[in-house]
Formats: sequence, C-alpha cells, structure tokens
Amino acid sequence: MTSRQVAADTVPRVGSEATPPRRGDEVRPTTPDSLDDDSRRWLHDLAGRGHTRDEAVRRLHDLLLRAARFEMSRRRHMFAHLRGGDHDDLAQQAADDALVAVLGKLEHFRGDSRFTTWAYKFALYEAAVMLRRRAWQERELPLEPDAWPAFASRAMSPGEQLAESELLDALRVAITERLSAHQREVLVAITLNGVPIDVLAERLNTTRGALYKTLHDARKKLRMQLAAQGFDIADGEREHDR
Amino acid sequence: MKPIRTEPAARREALDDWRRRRLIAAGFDPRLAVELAAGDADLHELLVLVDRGCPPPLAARILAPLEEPAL
Repeated sequence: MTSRQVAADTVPRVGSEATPPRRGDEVRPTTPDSLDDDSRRWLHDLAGRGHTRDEAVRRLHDLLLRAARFEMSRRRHMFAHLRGGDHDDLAQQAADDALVAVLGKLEHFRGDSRFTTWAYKFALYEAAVMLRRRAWQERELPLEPDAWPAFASRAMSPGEQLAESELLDALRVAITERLSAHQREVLVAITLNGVPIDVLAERLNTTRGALYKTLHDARKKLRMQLAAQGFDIADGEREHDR
Repeated sequence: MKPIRTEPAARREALDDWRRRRLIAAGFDPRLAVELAAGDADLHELLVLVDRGCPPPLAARILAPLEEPAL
C-alpha cells in the first residue's frame, strides 16, 4: 500500500453501529447458503481478527489496485495530459478509497455476484471519480448556459426544427425565470456544461445526493412550466424515480 | 458521504477563491465570504438557504458548526 495506507485496525468493522459488538464477540456478515466458497472465505477472513484479517485486507487492496489500474488504462486516451506516474498515483488513491468503501459496506453484500466481482466495481467507480476530478482540477466550472447551441438537433424537417426551436426558447425562458439562482447554476453546470456531479459536489463541499435533489426540483419546475405552456413533455423522470 | 478536503495548498487556494466568488455573487459580504470559503462550510446548503430568502449572515449562522460544550 501507499502513504495513504489504510491500517486494518482503522477501517470500519463488520457489524451494526446500533448494537456494537461486545468484547470477544465475532460479528459476521450474513453468509447465505448460496454463497460460493471463495466469497464465503473472503467474508470470513475480513470479519476475522489479527493476521487473518490483515492478510485478507492486503489481498483485497491488491485486487482493488488491479481493478483501478485497469480502469485507468481503459480511460487513458480520454486523459492524455496525465503522465504515467499520475495514473499510478490516482490508481493507488482509488484503490485506497475503494478498500474503505468495501469494508464499510461488507454487511450489505448479498451474494448476488461473487465477492470479488462486487468489490471490483467499487474500484472501477472510484477510479472513474478520481479521473473526472483530476480532469476538472485546473478548470473553471462553467455555470452559465454557454452550451445552448449544442442542443440543436440535426437532420430534421423544417417543421420539426421550428417545434424544437420553440421548445428551446420556452426552456431558456423557464430556466431564467422559474429557477432560483442556485438551482439554475447547478442545472446549467451539470446538464448543459457537462460538469460531473461529483466534481461540483467537491467544489461546493456538499454531497452528490444534495445536488441530485436540487436537480430533481429544478427539472420538476421546468417540466411543469413547459406543460402549462402546452408543450408535450414526456414524463421520463417519474419512471426513473420509481 | 462528503468528500474530504485534502488538496495541496495551491489548489486549495484556487478552490477557496472560486468558493469566495460564488458566495459574493450570491450576496454574501466579502469578509464573511472569505471566512466561509476557507472553512468547511457546505456552500450548496448556504446557497439553497439564500435562494429561499434567508439573509446570508443568518444562513451562515444556521450552518455554523456547533460549539464544543464547556467541560
């Protein structure tokens, strides 16, 4: 592991915080009968103590580091400005963060897939987040709607173009007049200017969930406004929310 | 989970400057904006409160960390 090494004793242990384990109690995650032997062994070792657990944590970190490096390598062409050492440093950080996340969520592992497959996804996710953050690190976050022209669709009939133009005009007015200043900034940054939500969350020192809530409220306001003006707005978000 | 702010000094400075400008644009007094930008304030929650009509100084007080209880 790296300087950001995660000491086995400092990572969250398996068990409910509401009913902390007593001294000497072994708290283990659910191990349904359907679990494969390898996954059961991982859970057993990670919930254990001493050398067994330390060794399992080390093996898990190795696995996560391989996954993070794979993801970095897969996305390397999108971040050509990064040097080789940067990729490895980011992979290490992603593996460290993924390790903490996996150990903190062990009790949520339901055995729908192999343990290693489940854990692997944490590293892929963290690697993607690291790269997105890195890519936006030196950049000003655009909060003004400078990306409107990108919306114009191509290969449409004159009638369709007119309808789309009317819709875009109405949307532009609704964004300006119906949304609050901060709702507008969040919506514009994320949906028009392509700022990753985790990057914006980091800059604002908030959570992604809080930004999702603002986005949801903004979209709801816009949909209602456009529907009130007679535009046929497909209600895809309601399906998404279920 | 909130991201932990562990940026190098130069990047932290640029980030604080961006946060300060956001706060001033939202109506915060420049001195208060500097203080909030450099701290661990949740800018999103501050701006949501201001959006809803809360005066900026009150928003800052509402979201200020609780004081340590006297021992």
